[in-house]
Amino acid sequence: MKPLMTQIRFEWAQLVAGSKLGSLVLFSAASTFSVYLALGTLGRDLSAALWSILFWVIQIFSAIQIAERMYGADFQAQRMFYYQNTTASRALFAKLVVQSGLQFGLAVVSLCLFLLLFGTEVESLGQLCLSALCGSLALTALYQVVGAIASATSHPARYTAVLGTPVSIPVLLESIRASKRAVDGLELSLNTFSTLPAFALVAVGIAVLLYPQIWHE
Amino acid sequence: MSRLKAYKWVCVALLIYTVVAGFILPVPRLNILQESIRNLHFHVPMWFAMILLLGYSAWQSVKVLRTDDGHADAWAVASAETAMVFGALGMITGMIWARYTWGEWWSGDPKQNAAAVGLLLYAAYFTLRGAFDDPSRRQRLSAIFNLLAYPILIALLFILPRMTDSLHPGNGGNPAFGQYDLDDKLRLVFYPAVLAWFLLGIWMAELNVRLTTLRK
Repeated sequence: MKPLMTQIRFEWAQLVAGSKLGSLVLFSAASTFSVYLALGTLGRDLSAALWSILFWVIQIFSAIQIAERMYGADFQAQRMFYYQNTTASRALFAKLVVQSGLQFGLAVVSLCLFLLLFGTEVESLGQLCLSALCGSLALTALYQVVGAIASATSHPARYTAVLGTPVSIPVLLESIRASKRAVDGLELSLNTFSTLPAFALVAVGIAVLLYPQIWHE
Repeated sequence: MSRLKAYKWVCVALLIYTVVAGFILPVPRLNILQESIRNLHFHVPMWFAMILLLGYSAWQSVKVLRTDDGHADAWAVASAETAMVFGALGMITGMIWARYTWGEWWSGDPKQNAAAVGLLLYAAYFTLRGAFDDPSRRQRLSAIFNLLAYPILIALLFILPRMTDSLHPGNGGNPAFGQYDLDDKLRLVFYPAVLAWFLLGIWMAELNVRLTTLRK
């Protein structure tokens, strides 16, 4: 347990270093505000459907930004450190905890801004947060594999976006559907809300299986 | 002159049977579909062959990760490439069929869209392969991406389209062909057709692998 906590603290330190965290929050808030201003030119009439779509597209871009920062130049410089001090599964778990927390945090920032600026009435806030949490976890897990593969190429930033976008489409579609239902206040049942958590679990499972393989590189 | 392997004879025989029987045997009279139901023996097996070939490619990628075998890597790429050919053909035959039955070349049907995304996913795989100079690194990392892509493709083609309304059979309340509308006359040609196209895919992939080996 203790080595895991140390690793989580290390990941957190990496995130705070070099104003990575601040730039990510700024990115999320600025994109949400840009969407608000852009829609303002058309009269700010935003349906729940459009709202959920824009929110999740911003989340995908945030996921790419996070992966680029966490698997960029710093990660490559520290590769030896990782290899000597921790195991693949421990590193993955620490990264999942810190980065899905971060992804969820960015989602909350974006969500609060959307609610504040557009004054949308959300029927079920709890369900909306739950879908944001599941979606964040699924995206983070997928981007661990994508980011780690991309970091082995000569252009990590380019390949994170190229590989990540098609990979995240199923999660994107399912998250949009789940959060649209939350905004509309449809009843939460296992039938309607089982696909997204299942996707999150499968994504984590895939990451757990594949991450150690990348580790050996 | 090397002897053809047994499966290639089977493939040739089944393909001839598919084409001849597929066009000649009587088919059930269905509204709208009419004679175009015969496309079942060409459009649907393209996707079956694609999924099977990509499954084979994923299996070869598992082998690459286990043994670092360059031959398995050649097979993984070759079967993925062949699968893309089948995917493109499936899309073209599907679009022509859709034009005459659904009225549009592209109806924005969830399965149509998902298939397009699936092709993009594997385009990313081929792009990734171009990113490495070192062959051992290329084969391992692209094998990992291949194993990431396959379950996502399955989710795209088999899980998501079932969640929404779709014009395809078996989705959003439309019955799957196994239940109602695939009758025994069609089945007589359809199952051999799936096997025939899949074997043809393996044959194509094998030629591709041999060509890569010779180039080395």
